[in-house]
Amino acid sequence: MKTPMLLTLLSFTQLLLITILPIASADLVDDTCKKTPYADFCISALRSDPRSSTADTPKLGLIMVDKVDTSAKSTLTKINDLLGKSPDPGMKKALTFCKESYKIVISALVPSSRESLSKGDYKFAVDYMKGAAREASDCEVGFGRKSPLSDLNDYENKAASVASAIASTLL
Amino acid sequence: MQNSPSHTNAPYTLLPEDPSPARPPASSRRPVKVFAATAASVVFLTSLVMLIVNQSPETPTESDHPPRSDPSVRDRLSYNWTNAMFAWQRTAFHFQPEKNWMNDPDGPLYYMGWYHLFYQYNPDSAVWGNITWGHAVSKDLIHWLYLPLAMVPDRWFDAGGVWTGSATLLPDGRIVILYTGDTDESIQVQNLAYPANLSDPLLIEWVKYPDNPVIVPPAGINPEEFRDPTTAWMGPDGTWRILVGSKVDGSGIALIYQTSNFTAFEAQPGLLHAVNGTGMWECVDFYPVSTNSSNGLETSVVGPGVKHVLKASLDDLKKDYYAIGTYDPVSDTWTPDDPEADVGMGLQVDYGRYYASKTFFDQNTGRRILWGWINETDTDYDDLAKGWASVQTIPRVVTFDNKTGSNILEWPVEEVESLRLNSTEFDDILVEAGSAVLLDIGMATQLDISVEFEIEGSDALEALEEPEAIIECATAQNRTTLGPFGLLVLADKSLSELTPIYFHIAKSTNGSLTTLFCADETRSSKALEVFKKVYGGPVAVLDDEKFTMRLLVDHSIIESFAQGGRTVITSRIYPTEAIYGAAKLFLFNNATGVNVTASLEIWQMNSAFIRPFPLEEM
Repeated sequence: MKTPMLLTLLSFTQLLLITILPIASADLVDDTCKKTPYADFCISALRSDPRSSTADTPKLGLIMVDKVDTSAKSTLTKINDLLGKSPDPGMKKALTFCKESYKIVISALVPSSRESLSKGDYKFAVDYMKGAAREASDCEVGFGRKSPLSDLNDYENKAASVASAIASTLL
Repeated sequence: MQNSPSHTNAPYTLLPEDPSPARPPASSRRPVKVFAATAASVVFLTSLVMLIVNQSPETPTESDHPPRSDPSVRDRLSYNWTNAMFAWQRTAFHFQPEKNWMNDPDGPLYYMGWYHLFYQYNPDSAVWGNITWGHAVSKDLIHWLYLPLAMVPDRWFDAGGVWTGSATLLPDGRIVILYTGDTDESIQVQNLAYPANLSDPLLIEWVKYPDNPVIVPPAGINPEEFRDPTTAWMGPDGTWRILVGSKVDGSGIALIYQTSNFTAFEAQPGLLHAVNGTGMWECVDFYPVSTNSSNGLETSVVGPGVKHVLKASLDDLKKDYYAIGTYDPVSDTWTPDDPEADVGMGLQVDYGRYYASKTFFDQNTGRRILWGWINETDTDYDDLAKGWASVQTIPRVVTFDNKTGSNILEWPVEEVESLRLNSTEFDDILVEAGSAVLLDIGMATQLDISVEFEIEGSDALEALEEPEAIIECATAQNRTTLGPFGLLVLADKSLSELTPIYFHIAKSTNGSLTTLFCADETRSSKALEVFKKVYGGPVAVLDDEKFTMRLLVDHSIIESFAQGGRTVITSRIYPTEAIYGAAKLFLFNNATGVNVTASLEIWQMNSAFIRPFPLEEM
């Protein structure tokens, strides 16, 4: 009979569309992340955000800048926490340096990068996200071997490097 | 001259505990001639070793930091800049706002006795964003006075930013400005603005055409790759044309728009020009130059004895490229004289830290004048800490080089010479191979230097047997038979920090000599995080010419001109020790096979006292 065939055809088409559409967008995620220094990190970070399935490249960059921002804010909270626990002078010095670094990531580097990616003058996001990555790695180095912020600094460094690279592909 | 050399020249104040800068003793205003034989003001250092042995801590490459495991390295990572060091970095006679971020120069023009400069400006921060049009005026292109912001992002058609644009002076005396607005939906459009009051010589108030935008991105063009409208020129049919830069399939392109009234524009079907693989063309500039006179030409001029320069700022390389060619006003196309040196493939406007340049025709003096934006090369953190970022070059006159026939010449406007105070001359100083000579001139942070070099024994040039191919500038520590030789600027006495600006000559494989003009920033500062590289490019030195350089040294900026402006390099320098009275100037010759003699005239330069216009006194 016709109806079951029609139903089957419709279901099949629906199934096909459901599987193809995200693959088409996932291709953009894959293609974009391939051009960044931390491809696997990039893919999992972007895919963790539902907006990535329908995002164009500038929006993927913006999603990554959001990650940089969120992570920076968490790191700043942790730094303030650790500073409140009377650390020894060396630790305090390193933490204070990191605090200043993360403050400018949040107050200056993230907003400029967001503006750059959303308005189409991408070269600024390339530079400012590179700057954010550098702040994170400089913060980490300040502790020598016993950094309490290793995971957070590592994440920030990767996220910002990826964001910079994504903006770079748009130039 | 009304200014004494001991006048404090900065609007900032030093902290009480910081050392005050050593000022030069009040000196005679007549040039002082010093002969090598007298040695009264020349200290001859045979410092062969000092130059070839790397004295500074390991030189980081431009992209990575040295491997670290030692916590003490941390202290050097973000240099402990003091207020005095930051204060020193501010320039004395280059245009920069009192604070915050600046980028592209906009709408330069001359009107009713005043030169106007507008500029991309962030009123809130020392990083890019929230872009408005800053505004300043000057009678002489040197002494600038700040005016209120000309335009802010207060309409839907520029809510995202009042971006770069150009001015056109119409024959009937009206002024029109076309600028890129980033709309409230982040689309790049072109908008019209004009003075509220043409009888105000300061052009303080501006009106945005209520029916903006006048041009929107056409089909096939990415709405985020469509910006920076040029000054208009008139075609043979009496209507105007402008260009807007964009990109298609990786090719940089210049789109043409035609108008008779600046409110209704028509897209032309063709492009003025495109070059494969050059990426997005920002800040396109298009202007005529005279091939048989040194006068500038008004933007609409065409005809015999005229060539056209097409220039683009390449977004992906952050460099300004140009080419000289022929414009056909009937077909509205432009063809480069040398297709292998097309826009983006050949000549750079400036081989240093330089971008977003723009020219205008100065109808007051008949010159074509060039502005260029000079970004910082220290870190964003440093910019935010010191509260400002970026300067403009000293405006340059652009002319066609009819000795080579293949490039333009750029030269600082002669008005900069009004800043010259006392000068010191040195004649025929011998600089032997592998040596440096300290030039005793007093302060060495605000200078106008003219120097010419001769290679001793031109037989050395012929005697050079082995070809030493030097295709691009390398550090001044790379010694070859014929170079490098030049000046060490912003150097401390022990040469722990130094910035060599120099010629490097090599014999190419076909037997001819090629000369490079270079600026080596790699040892300019002990601050590790400052971006330091070697800049430069080739420069033609003709048979009857000596090697000549002119340098404008102004704290953290150096503008270097070779062979009368055939090749120019702008440098940003942030020394930690070679500042204030500790900054010195040397001649150097790092060649292995030849001596050079140098003759110089060096002027101390006054401040331009750039400050707000005293509006309340009007």
